[in-house]
Amino acid sequence: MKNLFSRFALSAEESASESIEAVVEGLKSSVETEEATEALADMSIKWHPEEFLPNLKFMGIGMLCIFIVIAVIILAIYLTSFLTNRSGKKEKKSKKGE
Amino acid sequence: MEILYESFLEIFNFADGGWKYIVMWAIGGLLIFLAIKKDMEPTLLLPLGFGTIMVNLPFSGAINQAIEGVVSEGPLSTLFDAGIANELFPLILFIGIGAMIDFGPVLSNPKLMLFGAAAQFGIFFTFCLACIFFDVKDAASIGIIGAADGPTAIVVAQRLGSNFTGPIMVAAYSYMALVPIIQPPVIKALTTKKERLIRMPYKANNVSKTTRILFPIIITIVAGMVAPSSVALVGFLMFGNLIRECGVLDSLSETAQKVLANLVTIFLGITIATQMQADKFLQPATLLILGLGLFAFVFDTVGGVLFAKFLNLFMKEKINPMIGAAGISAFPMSGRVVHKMGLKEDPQNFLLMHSIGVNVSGQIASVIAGGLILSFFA
Repeated sequence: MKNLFSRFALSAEESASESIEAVVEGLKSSVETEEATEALADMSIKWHPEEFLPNLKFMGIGMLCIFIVIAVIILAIYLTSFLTNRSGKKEKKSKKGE
Repeated sequence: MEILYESFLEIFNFADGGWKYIVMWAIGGLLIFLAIKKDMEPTLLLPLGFGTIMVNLPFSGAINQAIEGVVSEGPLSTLFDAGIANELFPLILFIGIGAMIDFGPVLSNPKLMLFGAAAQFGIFFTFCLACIFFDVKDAASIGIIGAADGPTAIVVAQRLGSNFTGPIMVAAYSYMALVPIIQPPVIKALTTKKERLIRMPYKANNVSKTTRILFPIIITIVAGMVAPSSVALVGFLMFGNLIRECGVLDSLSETAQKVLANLVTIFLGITIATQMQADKFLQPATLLILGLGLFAFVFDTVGGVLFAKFLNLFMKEKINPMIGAAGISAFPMSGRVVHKMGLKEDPQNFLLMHSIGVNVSGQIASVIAGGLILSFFA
């Protein structure tokens, strides 16, 4: 009788754990579906014309930054060319002197 | 046999989206056709086209598939995680591109770099426009199509976590190949015949080896100080160039230009196809992205040409405004297009050295623009 009772208890435990697993699986799959629908929802097109003007500031800052970087690079190139040409000329002069 | 039956069922179940497979095969076929027959960026469009077909077969083993709760790993998904999700492939490709580029024309006339900067206008203007339809990060990823530079577009889209990497890459590479069709009408619309006839004599200045070696180092430092996010992009490009110019690593330079660039290109094209799955690609947003990409290319051209015209207001020695259009970094197509247009107007007007100089500076400016976009939104 005891054995039978413990067998019943075991089977009840098993079925309970199985049902928990099923619930977890169900939750997982629902989370996955939610994620998938969220991803697809992110791919939809919005219509927010009011977003255009506030974002123009990024255009201004971005173009300004590019011009500043390029201007610094141009100056650096001129400076490097000037210095290397001068040292080249010096070397040539010293060779002529020899 | 059962899987064959299920596959057929999946495809011919038109009511449940089976038609999407067939449309994606057609798109893959179109990309292969454009690559082979029209010679449009074949190195990328062909692997991309074939990859599109591979990933759009029912239960394709090329990508990760979850069948009955069990996830089986696909090699293309693994490659995507290993090389694109972490931006490794595009950055390695930059080493090859850097090794291919000769910055000589820019170094002999550094002022040309200003046109490269002006021609990034399309990126930012398209971003503002895209903000109307998408959230800020997706809009920034779409705007960068105007960089006319595939690897930059991939890196920016990936780091900003855009859902549209596939359409963005298709737009970037397709329009790069379409530069000879897109740019001439825009240039003609913005310039007069008299302006197109302006001759620009080329004075070849000697560029010392030291300058050539210091150039990539200076650019990396300056760009890195202003936009730290751009260090990877600019650094890899300039590292490739340093290998080329240093003069002691000829075999590495050759490997970077040929073997490395080709190898990464093969993997890049076929791996990015994982983003071309029907559910992700066949969205109304894709068409809008393709439209915005075209818009970005047009406004890049507009920015470059108008900036040249603006400079002409103050300069004694006038500039042919067409060279401004070469500031988009589609290298070397854009430079050649401008040169050919100059020759068409006047067979004695050789703009090649100027336009290539501007084109090369566009490459640098577009990478800096990519870095700035990352600094703003990453």
